[in-house]
Amino acid sequence: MEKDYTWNPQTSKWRAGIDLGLPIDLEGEENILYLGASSGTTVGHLSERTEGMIFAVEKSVDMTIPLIRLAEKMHNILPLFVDAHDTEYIKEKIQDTKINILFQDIPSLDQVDIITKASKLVDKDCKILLSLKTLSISKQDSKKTFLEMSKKLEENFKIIESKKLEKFHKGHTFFILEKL
Amino acid sequence: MIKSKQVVDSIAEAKIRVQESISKDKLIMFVTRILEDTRNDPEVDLFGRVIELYYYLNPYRKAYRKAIYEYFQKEIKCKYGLMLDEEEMNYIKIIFSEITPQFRFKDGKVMKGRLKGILEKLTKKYLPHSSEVIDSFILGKLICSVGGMENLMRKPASTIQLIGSEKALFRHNKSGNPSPKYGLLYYTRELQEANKKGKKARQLSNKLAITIKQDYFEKFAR
Repeated sequence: MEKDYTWNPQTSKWRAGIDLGLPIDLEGEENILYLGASSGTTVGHLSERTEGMIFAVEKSVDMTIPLIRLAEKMHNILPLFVDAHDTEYIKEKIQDTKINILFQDIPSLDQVDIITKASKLVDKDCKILLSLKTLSISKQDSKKTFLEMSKKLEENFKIIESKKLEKFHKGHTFFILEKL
Repeated sequence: MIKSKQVVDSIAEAKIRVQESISKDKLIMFVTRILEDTRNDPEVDLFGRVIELYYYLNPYRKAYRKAIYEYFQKEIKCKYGLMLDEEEMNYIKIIFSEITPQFRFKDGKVMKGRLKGILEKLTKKYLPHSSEVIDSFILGKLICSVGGMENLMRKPASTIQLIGSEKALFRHNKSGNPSPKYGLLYYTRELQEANKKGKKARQLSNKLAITIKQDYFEKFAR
């Protein structure tokens, strides 16, 4: 069984961001901390594009098993089976590698809290990417939730750019952030 | 392509942590689903259910149709997956001695009774308090429909009462029709005999919400 190796914007939020013109393409040497790796569709494509380490955090059992199968094939994926709230365990595993990009894609109620907690692990010049799903935060009008969440983000981050992924993914917004 | 030591270590540690958190409710779900299938159609194809169990026993070994059939005929060895004790090995041996290479039961009508006996013994072992409250087949169905014991433990009593009647509940939310009183619990013997079914369903689900939490922290929690 051969796998289809084209990187599809319908299944990957990172690729959809690149197609819509955001400056998030890899250069070749970055270390990435990826929260919410799932079965590893995006992680597999990222590992071909960089020489650095990719730390893939995932909580569910059924999704971690294909992720480990993928990590055995590639040479730079480190699967971590842990809840993304548990930053102490992640810090222990990262040791002293310098993280260049932090990406988070966990559609849940406290999505903003998770990334503020995780941003304490990285330095000030790290690029922080977030794909926010407004539909899973509240059932009210999505414009209203978007304004509330971006206000909450501005307490801890500086928003460089934001773009709606409506063409490929319903109710998603991509943020590029920087630590204050 | 050489893997560094950090990568190899983290793969090995993730494997151990995954193995600790695969729990025995997967086995209960497997038997319930097979029993439900054979009740609807005694000559049903079981390949989809069997491959699901195979990947819980050997998560990192790939196999095809013929190899999977031969694996279950021999003595089962599992290294990285769900660990079975001798009693459960016997149950699996009983089930797979009756399956043909086309993944169908030789005699579906006889297997219905045997599968029910196995399910009763399993629920008595792992869910001792809840199996006294309701029938073991419906208890298994409740676990299947939310996808595991940990998810069911987090549900309140009012949600357990309405599992299985989602369509009627959302219709009620949308257009104000009368709300449903019971879901899967309707098929228990206690509800069939009762005069006031809504009252009985509320009482049963209140009791279940307590006993399921009791069972989870005795047998499943890490």
